[in-house]
Amino acid sequence: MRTAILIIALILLFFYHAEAYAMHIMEGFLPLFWCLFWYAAYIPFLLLGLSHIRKKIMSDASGKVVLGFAGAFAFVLSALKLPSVTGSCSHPTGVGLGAILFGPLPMAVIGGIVLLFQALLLAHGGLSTLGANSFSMAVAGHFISYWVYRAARRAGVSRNVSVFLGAALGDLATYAVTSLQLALAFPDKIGGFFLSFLKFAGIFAVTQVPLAIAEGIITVIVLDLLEQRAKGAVETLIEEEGLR
Amino acid sequence: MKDRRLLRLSLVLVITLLLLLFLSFGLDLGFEGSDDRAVELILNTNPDYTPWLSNLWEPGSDFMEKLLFGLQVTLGLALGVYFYIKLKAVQDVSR
Repeated sequence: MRTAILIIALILLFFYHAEAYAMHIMEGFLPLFWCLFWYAAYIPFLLLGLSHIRKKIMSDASGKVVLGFAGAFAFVLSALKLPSVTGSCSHPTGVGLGAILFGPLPMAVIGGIVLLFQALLLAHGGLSTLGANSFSMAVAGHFISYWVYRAARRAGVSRNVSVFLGAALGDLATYAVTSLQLALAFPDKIGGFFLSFLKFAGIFAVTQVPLAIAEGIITVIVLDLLEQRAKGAVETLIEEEGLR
Repeated sequence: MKDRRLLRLSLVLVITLLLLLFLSFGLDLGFEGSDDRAVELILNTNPDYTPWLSNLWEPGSDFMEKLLFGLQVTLGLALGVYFYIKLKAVQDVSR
């Protein structure tokens, strides 16, 4: 299995010459009011996430390591910019794995760190739009993943299909919320918020559909790999979330 | 057993897909970032809007930008492999 992982890693690295496209709201492209609004919406989740990590995860050696792995997963996936059927590019978010294992709050912190790294070092997104981008990817994406996975399991859907649905719809939700954020800030002069939302969703969310499906499949495979590696630890984490 | 085989097959499919997607960048198919399209839409519908802040720092060239994104992927993979290997050790100790 290690060899398989190594081969995947090498393939990814060898072929990694994608153009540097960004998918989040760019620096300065939200009016100040909306920047502050989305920061205010994100910060409570950030604080709750930090508290959750400190109280529930840091005391558990396996939990810390799995959280590190989930963070690394989000870090890699959010840097893989892939072309889509719409002729534009986007990237997966990696939000589903952590949300399914830990619930949505800890990943609000991890997602924020990934976006801060990209805003500071890669000019991808920005500091003024960090609150909005964090809210869409690190809060909305994780909560949707978590809720969808939970609802699917409770409805008796198999675990793998539930993981797939959680990860794929969480990914899609990230860009639906990005479209909503832009539509609120820039309503269409004739059609208002709704038409503007449809236009932005046509750019972000539609591009994301095939990538969301790919992310769902990858998340199922990675969770399976994690379970093979440390069945007890992963099962305990999922049990603690009441989601088995 | 059947599930495992299905997972392995999915893995092969995903790798093939990724391979094709990454190769397509090498062919320069002219894909545009979805953020660029969003910016175009904002500026088309709100021609008077001026971005009020720009990035503190931007990579000096396309090559540097690709290199930094590659760094993020490499860093993430290295951390992922590290935690993946460490997970077994931590579980063994806790037993």
